[in-house]
Amino acid sequence: MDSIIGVKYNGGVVIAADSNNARSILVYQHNLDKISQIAPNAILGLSGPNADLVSFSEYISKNLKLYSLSNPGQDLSTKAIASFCRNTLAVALRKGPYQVQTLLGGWDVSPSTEDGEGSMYFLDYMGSLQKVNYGIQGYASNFALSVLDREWREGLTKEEAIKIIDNCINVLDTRFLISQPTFTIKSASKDGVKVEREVVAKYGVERNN
Amino acid sequence: MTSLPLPPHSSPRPLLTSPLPRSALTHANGIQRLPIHHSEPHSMAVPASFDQQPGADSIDHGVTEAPYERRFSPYDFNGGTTLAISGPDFAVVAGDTRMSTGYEILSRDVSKLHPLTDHCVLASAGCKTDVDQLRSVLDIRSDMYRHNHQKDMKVTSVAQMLGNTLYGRRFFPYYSFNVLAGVDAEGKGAVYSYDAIGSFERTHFSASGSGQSFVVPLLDNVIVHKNRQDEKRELGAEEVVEIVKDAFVTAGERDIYTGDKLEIMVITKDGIQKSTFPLKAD
Amino acid sequence: MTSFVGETSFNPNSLLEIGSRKPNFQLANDLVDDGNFLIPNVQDPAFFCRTNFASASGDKDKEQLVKFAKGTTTLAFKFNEGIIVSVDSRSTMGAYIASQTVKKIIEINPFLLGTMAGGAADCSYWERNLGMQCRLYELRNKKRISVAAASKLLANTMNSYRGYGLSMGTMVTGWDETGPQLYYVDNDATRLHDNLFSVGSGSTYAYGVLDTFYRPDLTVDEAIDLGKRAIYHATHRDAYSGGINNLYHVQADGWKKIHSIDVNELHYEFRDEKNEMVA
Repeated sequence: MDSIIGVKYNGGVVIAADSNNARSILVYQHNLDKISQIAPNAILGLSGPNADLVSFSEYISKNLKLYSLSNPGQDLSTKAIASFCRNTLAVALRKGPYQVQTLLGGWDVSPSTEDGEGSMYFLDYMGSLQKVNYGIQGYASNFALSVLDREWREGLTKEEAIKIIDNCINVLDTRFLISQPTFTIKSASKDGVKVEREVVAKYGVERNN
Repeated sequence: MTSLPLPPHSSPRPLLTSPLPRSALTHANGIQRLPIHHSEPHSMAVPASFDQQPGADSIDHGVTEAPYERRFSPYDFNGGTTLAISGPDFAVVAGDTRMSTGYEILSRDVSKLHPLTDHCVLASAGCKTDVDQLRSVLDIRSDMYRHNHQKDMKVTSVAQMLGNTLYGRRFFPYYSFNVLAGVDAEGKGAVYSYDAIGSFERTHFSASGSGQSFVVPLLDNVIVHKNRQDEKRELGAEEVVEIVKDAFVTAGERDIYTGDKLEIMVITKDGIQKSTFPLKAD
Repeated sequence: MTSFVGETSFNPNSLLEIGSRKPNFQLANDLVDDGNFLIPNVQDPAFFCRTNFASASGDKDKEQLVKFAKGTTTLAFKFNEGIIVSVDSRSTMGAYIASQTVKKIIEINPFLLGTMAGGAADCSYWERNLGMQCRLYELRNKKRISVAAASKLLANTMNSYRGYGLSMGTMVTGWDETGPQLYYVDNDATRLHDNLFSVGSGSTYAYGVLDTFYRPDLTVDEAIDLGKRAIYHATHRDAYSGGINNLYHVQADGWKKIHSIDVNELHYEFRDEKNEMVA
């Protein structure tokens, strides 16, 4: 039921996730942050039951932290991180699967451009991994993939990427049965991970920790 | 867990699997399975049917029906009712002595009461073998306590120990519905009621077993004074024992598993007094 | 000579036994509880357990031979003066009301409260276990445990038993160094942090009243009244909720029990109030 939308632009990636937390007919809260920062320049947008969201993202981020402490100076590329995520999912599949659909986005230094380049990976709960320019997890894909197919092109700026995401959100608002009024948006680029749009629920806590 | 369909005349292979009724398992996991016949007829769910062929019993020997699997159920229900009531300085605990399985009476003189200390009695109904095992485990643990601490366990501690022992078998429960009665450290009567996996609560009175539904409404009215406008009276131990006898007579009228004889124990700070009372044997 | 069925077992307390003294005699240790759970010796123990021994809600366990006592409407919300925790007290086994006097608020320690919804035995056992872990934390670290850490400990325990049919929907709440905190923890290891939660079969009815009248700047009396009313409305409409409304207030120096009122009395009190307003 969650919608995760990710778009790569020139110099980084942007991921948007709806911030509803619901089970069956009940909405627990409207301010759940489903985009987790797993490395200084990488973000993971997750969809699935809350327990798996939390345990998968914590497992990945703590292991990455351990790697960086054990191997100082060796930064892991987004491709390596994606590979690690995939392996975790594939091994767990036959033992006790993590029921998470994710979009991994990260920024790496690149020899060709001085701004570095972003890369985005689409991972599903069974461990299939695919490098993509843009991706959507959840029912939202039925509505918004066509928007991204039409509008995405090489060399976007961050603002343009966020505008495309807003177009996707509008489509969902118009045509998707489930109401998802608020989206959290984060970006990963040369300057690290930034929160582009935060959800401040009416009476809820601002951050989910 | 999947096995080939057995031809009707071959000997059944017991499989320790689910005690579920047939309907639930025939579509487990979306896989079609054969209908399951349990080796013991389900005592709780045997319908009274008047149009069965004379001489037919509920164990189907598979001669006329289509092939099916036989399953072994680790649980059986041996019937009976237990009851405990607490007072200001006493506790009364009682249980009938009939043990049955299905429509058969196995014995008319099996006790459901088990003193754990001088001030504490455990009454259990359900599956006799699990009850015996539970009593054995509790005896061992209270003996260990007595050896380690040089004194008997208090009723409140026994209650918690029983709860933990039951939860220790959360994934393969003791099929035992317990009521614990005793006198606490201040001399007041204490009664604790349990569910099968150890959720417990100190209450004024408690009943469990097959006749529970007949006895509890009576006691709600008479002991706890629910839904009554007249003034509540303090009840002494002798009066409570008479009420207990009435309750069992009532239960025995309508519950087939309750009857034969009633064992009553009155627990006070001076110890446990036992008495018996005959019930109808039909 | 024991002829036990299950030999596979988990040891949930092994971490806590580091440094402890084990007794050097092992008397009949299969019988005595040594921190392990006996698991049925079948091919798929998780499937077996959640099919036969689940403390399911509503009547999902009507096929089960062994039904367990279940609990039903609980709520808690944070406001400027602390946290109000309000619960009912009915426990059902199928359609039979096992008890009308269940204590669904568990006093983990003088600063932490836990609520009970779902399987009564599961909730009371694991919250008592949580109390033990909190006390060990205090002894090892010379300070009280935070609510975030306590709820994480409980969620991790639930993660270990995922798929085995445990049923527990609890709210862990207290006042620690960061102020009043409220967490929701579930049997599938969901752990959520927010200002307002209601759990149980009657939770949707409670949410209706709670969401409409909740404000963070309620006074203490208004908040107590809101907690009381929300539970009353849930017990009025939900068959599995009822009995007595127990209400606690969590303040900076610990929790305090406010009242224990029969919801039946509340019905007539609110009815008279409505009649007076109309008149």
